[in-house]
Amino acid sequence: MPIARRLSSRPSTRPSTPSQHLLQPEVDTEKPLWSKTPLLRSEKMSDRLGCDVYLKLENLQPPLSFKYRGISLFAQRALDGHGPNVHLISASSGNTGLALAYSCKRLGIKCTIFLPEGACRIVPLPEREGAKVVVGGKEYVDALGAARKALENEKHAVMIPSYDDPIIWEGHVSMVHEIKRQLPPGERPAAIFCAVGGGGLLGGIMQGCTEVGWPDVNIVGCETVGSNCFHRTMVANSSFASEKGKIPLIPASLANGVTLQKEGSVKIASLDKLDSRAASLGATAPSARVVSTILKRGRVCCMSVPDPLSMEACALFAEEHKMLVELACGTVLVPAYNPALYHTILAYHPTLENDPETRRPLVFIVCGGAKISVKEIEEYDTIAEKEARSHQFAFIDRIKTEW
Amino acid sequence: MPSTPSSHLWFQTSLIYSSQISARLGCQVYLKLETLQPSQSFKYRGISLFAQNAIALHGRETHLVAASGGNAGLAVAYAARHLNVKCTIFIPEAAKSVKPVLEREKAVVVVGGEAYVDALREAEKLVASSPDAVMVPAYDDPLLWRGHSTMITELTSQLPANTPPPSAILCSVGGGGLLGGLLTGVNSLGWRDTTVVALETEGSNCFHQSMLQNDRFCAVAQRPALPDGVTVRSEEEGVRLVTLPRIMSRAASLGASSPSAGVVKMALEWRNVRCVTVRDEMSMGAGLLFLEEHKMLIELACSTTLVPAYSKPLFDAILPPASGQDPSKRTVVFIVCGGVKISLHEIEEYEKLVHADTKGSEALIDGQRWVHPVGL
Repeated sequence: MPIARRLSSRPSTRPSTPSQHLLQPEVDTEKPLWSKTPLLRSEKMSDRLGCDVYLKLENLQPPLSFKYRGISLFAQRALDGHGPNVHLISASSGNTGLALAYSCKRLGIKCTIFLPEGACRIVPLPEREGAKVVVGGKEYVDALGAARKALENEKHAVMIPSYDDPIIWEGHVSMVHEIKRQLPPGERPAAIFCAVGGGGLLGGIMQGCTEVGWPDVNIVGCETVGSNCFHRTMVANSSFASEKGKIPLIPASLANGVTLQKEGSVKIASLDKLDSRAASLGATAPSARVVSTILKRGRVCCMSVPDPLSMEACALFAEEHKMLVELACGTVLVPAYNPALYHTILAYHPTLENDPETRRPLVFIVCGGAKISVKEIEEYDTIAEKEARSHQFAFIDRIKTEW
Repeated sequence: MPSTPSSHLWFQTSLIYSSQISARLGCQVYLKLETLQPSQSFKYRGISLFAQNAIALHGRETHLVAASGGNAGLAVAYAARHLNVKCTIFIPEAAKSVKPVLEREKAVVVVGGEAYVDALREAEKLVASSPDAVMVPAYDDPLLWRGHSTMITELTSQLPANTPPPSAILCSVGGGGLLGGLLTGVNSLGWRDTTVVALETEGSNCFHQSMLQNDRFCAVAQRPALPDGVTVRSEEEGVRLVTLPRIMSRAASLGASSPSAGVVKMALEWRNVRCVTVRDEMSMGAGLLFLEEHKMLIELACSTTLVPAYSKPLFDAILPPASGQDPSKRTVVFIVCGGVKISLHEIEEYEKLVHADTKGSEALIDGQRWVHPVGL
């Protein structure tokens, strides 16, 4: 499927933006900046799981992650609303900042990213795209404070939300429209697997499914056991995964270590601490908007896996598909490398057709991410070799499963 | 699942803009990701087309046969599986490790002797003795080149609208199948000003050496002496080809002792061809940098194409901008041909070898030695 075409003859109605001295591709600022990424059928995963498995390769977006969709749309809207002097600001330790830098460079607008000290490693990347990077403070909250200050002091400054914004979702929604066009005609997935940090991607997928007429497509939200605020939030709400007339149980591992708060009609769980190396999933609490919408929609499965399984998935994906993805992304692929886990998910969600005759395809969102190197993959490989087999367990909805 | 003759099996692969390489080289650089083909290399294009054609001619009992050390065999196996026909791949002893990979694709695999020529002989024996058996060539067939050429024709809808044809397209050369596809493609599109850059490694550059033996490419006065053991012969229409006595490069997938005569002929007729030979270590280095920047593992045969992407001085030596032309406006496409012969294990090995490499950057460009300028 071709990368997004551009209209060649329609004149632009947007005021021309100053061109950057840095080299960049010719850009039509009125069309989406993101790439239509491939939907690749994985032969090996299909063989392993016994149905057609497709991978949506968001790691092929220019800034290496799906975030480019929502963030670039937000940036375009900000330019529309505020004019060429708009200044976009973000406090992000990673992929959000990088996606913003890429967007601003292509739109020819100013961009500043505030990072905490610990995030230094990703610094060269946004700067190469022309973003100003300000490093300060130890934690994310310090960087956020500095960003907010900049926001107050500048007339044209606009803060990029990390995940909890309808425009961000709207950008991510485009992914589902593409998937629908890319699947063989008339086919709709049995399930879409995606990683969940704060829930931005999940929100976009959910809205996308609604827009393309896929209310029965299951969404499997994948997290790690040490960073699963969404999973813990869902099980804290009695309407989720409960049988009629029965009081839903919450396993202790999912109930402990959180603080519950009511936001509107839903309970939100805040993790007391994050205990996973999948840093990009690192949200202490999910978006209330996403949670309440998904509770109403239903057809969602929550999956939490231990880090060693995510690490193993990253290493295996590198060997099989020759691509490096972050740990957060490897998390989504754990069921693709553990058929027993996948079949347990099927058993708890029988709507994921189990009949070989009518078996619908699965789609895994390979969200990507820039925070990965071959050194890390080698490290994950070593850890997985030692620990994956003794960590063959996962939480699915309200139960713990082992294999 | 059966496929109709009108539908092709290959994937229209992504053409991505590389921000990093563009910044480094000072022009618009795009990467054609053939790694995304079902069998993970460009070979699937021509080979699947050949397979479909064979079945159209011989029927559903067609038995596809190939001799291959890797990626070609894998492409045949994938095609056979998708077209629901029998398939036997003969591999040399040296490529034994690829046997389980091929068998997983339901191919019958036979280890046919020590070297590729032995495997090829065994394959030919089977084809001679079996009426349904059809040999799938690895690189030397116009139908293969026609299939591979689709990677070029796809560019017309993938490059930004209103851009002129690419200034240059770079690819690796083993036996010349990919190059044959590239040349067939640019010919069919009439991109006469596009420079085709053919890259090989030292110890496996039969194409470069063959071109140097032809007057149309290299005058006799400039022609280097043939290295020890290398022989030259004349093919039809006066095309001269060399035969290398052995392959001395780790880029195994480039390991052909002689290139396709048809491809050499096309290259001589195209005229706008640059031949480049680089050392293995430079190819490894490029592969490691590509991995870091683009998060993709590519085998040596593939990273060979990217050596100029990681050395502006080399790139400028191969493709000096024309006078009066704004170099930053040039569009350059690198064919990331793919291939499965790379793993984390090899990456670790290459890291050590590159680290220990004391030789500077040097290359052969159209028979002339190029050395990285000191102090840059």
